[in-house]
Amino acid sequence: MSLDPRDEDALRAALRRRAEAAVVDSNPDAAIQRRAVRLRARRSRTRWAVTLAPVLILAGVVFAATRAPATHRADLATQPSGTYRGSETTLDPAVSIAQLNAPKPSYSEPLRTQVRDTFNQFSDCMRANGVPDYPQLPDNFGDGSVAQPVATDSPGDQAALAACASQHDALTNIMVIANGHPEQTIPSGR
Amino acid sequence: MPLDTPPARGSAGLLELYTGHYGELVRLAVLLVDNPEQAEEVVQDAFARALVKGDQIDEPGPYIKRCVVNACHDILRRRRIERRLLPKLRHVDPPPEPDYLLDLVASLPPRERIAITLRYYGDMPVDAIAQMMGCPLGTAKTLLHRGAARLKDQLER
Repeated sequence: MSLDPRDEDALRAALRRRAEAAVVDSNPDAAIQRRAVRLRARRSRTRWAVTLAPVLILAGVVFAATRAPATHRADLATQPSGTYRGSETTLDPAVSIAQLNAPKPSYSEPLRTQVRDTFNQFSDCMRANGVPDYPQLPDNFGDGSVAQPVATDSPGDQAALAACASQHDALTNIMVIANGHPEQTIPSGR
Repeated sequence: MPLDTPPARGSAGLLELYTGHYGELVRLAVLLVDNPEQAEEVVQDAFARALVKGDQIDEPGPYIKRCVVNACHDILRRRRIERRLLPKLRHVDPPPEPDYLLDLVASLPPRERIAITLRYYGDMPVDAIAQMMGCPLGTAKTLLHRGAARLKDQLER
């Protein structure tokens, strides 16, 4: 397929017009000089970018660090992630399961792991002490992916509660809140 | 002296080509990439490459023209990808004055645009276009055919 002869002529003319309109320096050396100026400008921009990039990354890291809640920073600073050290663990009373279940998780993975492990150790203890259906927190607990109300109305055995709470007194401050409202505070036995 | 005529050997010959054909090659590159600065750089790079190759090149004129066409093809291909992926970040210089026909040519895929430009601006025969673009004769014919079909289709709308 070829173009209509009139269109071909029009196209030729348009291309020639555009080519003639292009300002071409009659002195090629001047063009090289202009290129040298552009190259210098480009290098300067690259230098700035290379200098600024680490500063910006550092500023981002500092900004992110300062945005983390102070109590969590303290927790993470005093305790390696994923470990449980009994009564040394201090959690902010405001940290609730409902908050951890919020659609946008505002707590770090180490903290969620810590809360989950702590609760599940308590739960294991309760099961071992005659409350077989005491709830466990799932692995994706608190990541905001799904609402995870925790049933807290399991029949409590006061003796079991007292025994477990005495072993797991870190739970003193953890408020178990299901469906967004407080239903039960796990007693510490103290 | 036409670009196809072999110049004197060595850098003196290249200088002769540079003085005589720099503007012509820049104009061709401007038609292909729409940007005078990039066009100048493409042509200068082509001459620099020819200078480095020295006596290894039998015909510096066609070699340089082919370098220019290939470099323009690279630019067009990259620009097409950028336009697709970074529509708002990339600023492409607008053509000096809008022209419906040239806008249609600019909207063609890179290889078709090059083939059409070489055909209608350079008045090159198909076999020379194929040689310039480094592709078989059949491919060049196909590129021209498709490019012309697209243009015709747009013109008839």
